[in-house]
Formats: sequence, C-alpha cells, structure tokens
Amino acid sequence: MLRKTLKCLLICFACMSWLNAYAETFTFQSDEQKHQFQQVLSELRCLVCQNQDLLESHAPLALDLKKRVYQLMASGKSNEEIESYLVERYGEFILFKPRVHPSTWILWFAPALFLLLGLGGILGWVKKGRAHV
Amino acid sequence: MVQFRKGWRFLPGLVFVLLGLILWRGLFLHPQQLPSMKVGQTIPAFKLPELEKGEFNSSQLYSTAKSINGYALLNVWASWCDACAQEQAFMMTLAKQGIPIFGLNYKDEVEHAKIWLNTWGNPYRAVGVDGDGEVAIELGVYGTPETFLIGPTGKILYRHPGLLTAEIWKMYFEPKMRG
Repeated sequence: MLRKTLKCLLICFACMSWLNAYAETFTFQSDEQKHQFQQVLSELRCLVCQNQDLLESHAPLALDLKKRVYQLMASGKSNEEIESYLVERYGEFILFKPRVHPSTWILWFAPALFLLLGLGGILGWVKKGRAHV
Repeated sequence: MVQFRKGWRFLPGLVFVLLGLILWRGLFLHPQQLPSMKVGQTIPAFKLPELEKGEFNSSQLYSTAKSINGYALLNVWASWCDACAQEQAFMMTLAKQGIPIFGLNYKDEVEHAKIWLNTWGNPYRAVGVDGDGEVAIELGVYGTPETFLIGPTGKILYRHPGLLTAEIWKMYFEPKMRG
C-alpha cells in the first residue's frame, strides 16, 4: 500500500515538474524575478488560444512571446513597459485587464451605467407605488 | 409632477432597446480577428535573408509601394500552413494583375518553403525568411496567413488576418487603394 502511494506521488511530482518545465528553460537571477516573469505572463492573453494566458499556453506564438517577455525583463523593463510593448503590437486585447482608455470606457463603465439605470427604474416604480398609498 | 412620473414608465423599455442594440452589434463582431495596431504607421524597419539569395528588407517594401503602382502587399505564410496553400491561387491572380507582392516566410524551413513555392506557385517579388518569428512580432502578426496592404507613403493601410479571397479583396483592400 505504501509502495503504491509512493509510486503515485512520484508520478505526480514528475508531472508537476514537467508542467514547470517551460518556466525552467529560462534562467532567473532570483526567485523574485521568476515570480515577476510568471506574474506578467499570467496577465497576458494567448492570441491563438484566446482564453489561455501566456504562462500556460503551448501555442508557438505564445512561446515566442514568452521569450520576448523574458528578454525585455532581463533588459530591465518594468511590467508596465512590457505591457505597453505588447499592446503597441497586438492591442489592448492581449491584456486580460485592458487599461482604462477612451477606447475601453464602454467596456469598463457600461455595466455600472446599466446598473444605475436599472436602479433608477426600480426607484421610480417604487415611488410611484408609494404615492398611491 | 404627473408628466415626470409618466416619463419613468419608458425607462425599462429604453434600457431594453439600448441593451438589445449593443448585443445585436456584438453578434457581428469577430473578437478573434484583431484590428492591427500598426495600421497608419510606417512598416517597422527589418532586415532578413531572402529565400533564394541576398537580403530582403523593409526599404524594398517601402520603395516599391512608393513607386508608380503606389501599393504593395506583404503576405505572411508558411509551408506548414494549409490555409496559405488555399489562398495561393488568388495571390497568383493578383500578381498577374501587376500587384507587387512580397512574402514573409514565418517560422519555416528554407527547403520546405522552396518546395512549397514550386508546388503552389510563387507570386512574390522577394521572400524574407523570418525563421524565429521576430519580425512577425514587430508587425503584430498572430497567425498565418496574414496580408498587409502598404500604401504609397510606406504606411500600413490594412492588415487582413486569415485567408485572402476575392470577396475580401473587394471588400477591404480595393476601397483602401482608391484615391
């Protein structure tokens, strides 16, 4: 029983380290740098498999962009600079959190606007009900 | 005061119509087809080896577009890309009409690319070998095939992601080439 469990755990760890393999092909000067790398990648959309982020996607373009992000990070660029670099080439869609910009105002504020309109409608209806009491 | 209350009655209806219009519009948008960030900008400078010999660089594209014809196409393709083979017949038609077409061979093997051109046709005045896809990133390429329309000032007028057909040519490219 113990041997079976150990075997199972060994396979699990082997799989997990394979999953980490893509992060491992890059060398980092510190754990912080590695975390920064993974964090930036997890906020970027894979344009081929559009619901995946660059960290988990294995699409060729994703791997190329990963390399590019690594190069930018290694040359000292900040997260904002890396994001701007990619947005310059691929647009706001590459960010999972698009920046607040006249072109994305509708995206950011329409839900709140609809909520206010809806609340206004309810309020008006409730007030109308009260007036007849 | 009575008129004010009457007005409120229409609010839910208005919100419904507004929401309906927005969602209706949304049915016809294609989120997978990204608009190019490079439209309106000059071609990013690049220098690549040419498929046969020598070099292919952005100035060649620029000078061809500026010449008498006024326009040039940059077609991103690869021998491993099925859709690229499908559009090649149309590319040959365009080339026969005198439209200058240049190729960007994306993440491919030179030998495979040469064989592919012999099989499917070669409409290109020159083909740049972008083996690692670095130039493609500068152009904001995210798939193959893609076709860029370059105007007389060297500016990118349009980028079509996907198969180039006669319908798409008529709908998106020709209007940009008039006037």
